[in-house]
Amino acid sequence: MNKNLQFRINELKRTLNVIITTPLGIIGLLIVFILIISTIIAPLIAPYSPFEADFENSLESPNLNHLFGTDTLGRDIFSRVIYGSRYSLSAGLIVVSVAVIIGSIVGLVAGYPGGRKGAWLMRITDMFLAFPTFVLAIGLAANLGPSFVNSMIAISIVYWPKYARLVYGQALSIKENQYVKYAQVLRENNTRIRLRHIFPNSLAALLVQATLDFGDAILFFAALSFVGLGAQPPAPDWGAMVSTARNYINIAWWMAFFPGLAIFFVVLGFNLIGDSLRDALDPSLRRLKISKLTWLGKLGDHLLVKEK
Amino acid sequence: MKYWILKRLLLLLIVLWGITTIVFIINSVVPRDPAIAMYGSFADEEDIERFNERWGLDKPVWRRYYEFYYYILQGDLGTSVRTERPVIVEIKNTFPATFELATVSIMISFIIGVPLGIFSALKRNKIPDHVTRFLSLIGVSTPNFWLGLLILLVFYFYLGGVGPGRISSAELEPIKITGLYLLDSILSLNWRSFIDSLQHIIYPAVALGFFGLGIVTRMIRSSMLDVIRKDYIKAARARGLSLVGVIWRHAIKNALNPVITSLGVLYGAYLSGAIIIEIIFAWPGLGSFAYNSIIKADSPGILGYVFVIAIFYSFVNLIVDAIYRLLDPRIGFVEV
Repeated sequence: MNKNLQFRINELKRTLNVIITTPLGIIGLLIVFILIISTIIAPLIAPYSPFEADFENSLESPNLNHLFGTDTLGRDIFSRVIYGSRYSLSAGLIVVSVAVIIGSIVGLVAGYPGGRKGAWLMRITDMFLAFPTFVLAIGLAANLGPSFVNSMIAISIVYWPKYARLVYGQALSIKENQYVKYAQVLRENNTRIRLRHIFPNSLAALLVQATLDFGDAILFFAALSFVGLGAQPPAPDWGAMVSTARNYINIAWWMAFFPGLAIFFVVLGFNLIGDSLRDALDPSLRRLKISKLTWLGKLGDHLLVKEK
Repeated sequence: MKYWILKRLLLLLIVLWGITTIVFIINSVVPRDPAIAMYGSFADEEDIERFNERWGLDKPVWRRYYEFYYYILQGDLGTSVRTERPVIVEIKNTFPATFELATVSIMISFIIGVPLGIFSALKRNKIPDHVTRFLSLIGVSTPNFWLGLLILLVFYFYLGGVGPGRISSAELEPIKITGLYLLDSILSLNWRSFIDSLQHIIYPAVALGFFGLGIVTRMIRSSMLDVIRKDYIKAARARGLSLVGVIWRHAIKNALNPVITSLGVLYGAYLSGAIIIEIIFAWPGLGSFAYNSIIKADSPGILGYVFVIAIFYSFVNLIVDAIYRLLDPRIGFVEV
């Protein structure tokens, strides 16, 4: 077991390496890093409280006191944007995690042992894909009631079929392998085979897709909040902030500009990471940068030659 | 081919059944009480009971399922709790606007995206390629409501463009043939109306289409890169065909293959993203109707919206599938 774990850790390390060596990947990691940091230490870096109203200073354009200006209630927008990172990050995390878990379970159950029952399960899953995702989420969230939790439920329900199909496809190809057949001969039960053999081998594709979807999920949640179905005002969620700022766009552009800019940067960061990840795993693309390993290898050769 | 159509239509019927069932399930899991949303939190027991009785919300689930189908098959999507008019009428009035917006946005995404993607692929790893890739990355990362608001700010408020909505005044409205202003104004040779409609639709269409522009550019670029390396391209060049000729005759058709499959999904994304753009630009389409239904917790309205969009989307996918099979002779009409 230890060897197995070591192997997986090395795989992760190698993947991280690849992201680090492309310049865009570095920028993406930096942005996401800033996001995570600001989520955690928000109370320390925000100069004002995101909820405190200060009517004397309302609708101030960006100045030295208030970097991003203030809104109609006098709340500092910079502080609100910083606190808003919590909603976006947790939204992305929750949605992708829940969708992956549910989707994996359905995909595994349908994929192994497969056959007609599995195919039927997949057909039901595909029913969900007949809806454009955002529209279905609107229908669900609107009927459940507008709140953060309900929007999480709605988006997760809309997202899981994608991962179910992914895991199902992986399961179909993985179950043809020898080790699975050996496990069948040893009469291991289905659940054991799924968890020990099929799922770990589909993890790679799953994680890549989840990373790529993280930024998408944040965008999705922001759009739901904008329509009024996600986090509700006065919560300093970016989408909700843009929504309330919509009415004041011509007199206070900063109210809508900065939260939207924050969404843009965060999604951009995740997309950059996802892009470099995808480029790294695509064997047909020649990478411009030399990987650290090759560079170290060349250095090693140099040293070896010197020693000899 | 005939068998394929039949098979596909049967599949479509099953999908439609699935859609209606899912919509119904969403409907019956309604913790959000429309009665309270309508009357506010000051509603008392009597009002709620009367409200529920009127809209049939107090009948058992299976009876409602049966009634649901009974009405759906007659084309009755219920009556809007908000406007007291039949939902189907509201949808019929607003759908053409959204359809027009989505279609123009798709056209923008493709008309700009395809040449850009080809150009990017040909100049791989040179400056134009990097610029294009950067732009398309921005395209898929920008929240469309933010972009819409920025366009609104710059072009409507600062630069003083046209006003909100589809047309400047009721006089300029073209004669209603299809409900699509651009098409109707061409068909009735009303050029002033055409120009005015175009001026109104271009901003929301760009805001909506920017996302897909990024996607289309990236897809065309990667599929062009795949195609260019193929042997038949080298053979055509060796035979003396010019670069432009090769692209036009061989490369484009094959590069467009994966893009056409995503056309359906992109169209669905635009139909659903339209709700946001319509809110911002005061576009009187299905999205505006949906948004008003959301604020007022108008359950029949929301579900009518979901239902209609889902059905339209299914048909779009069917058509795209047919086009795809028509264009690529390798994928025949035999398998589903």
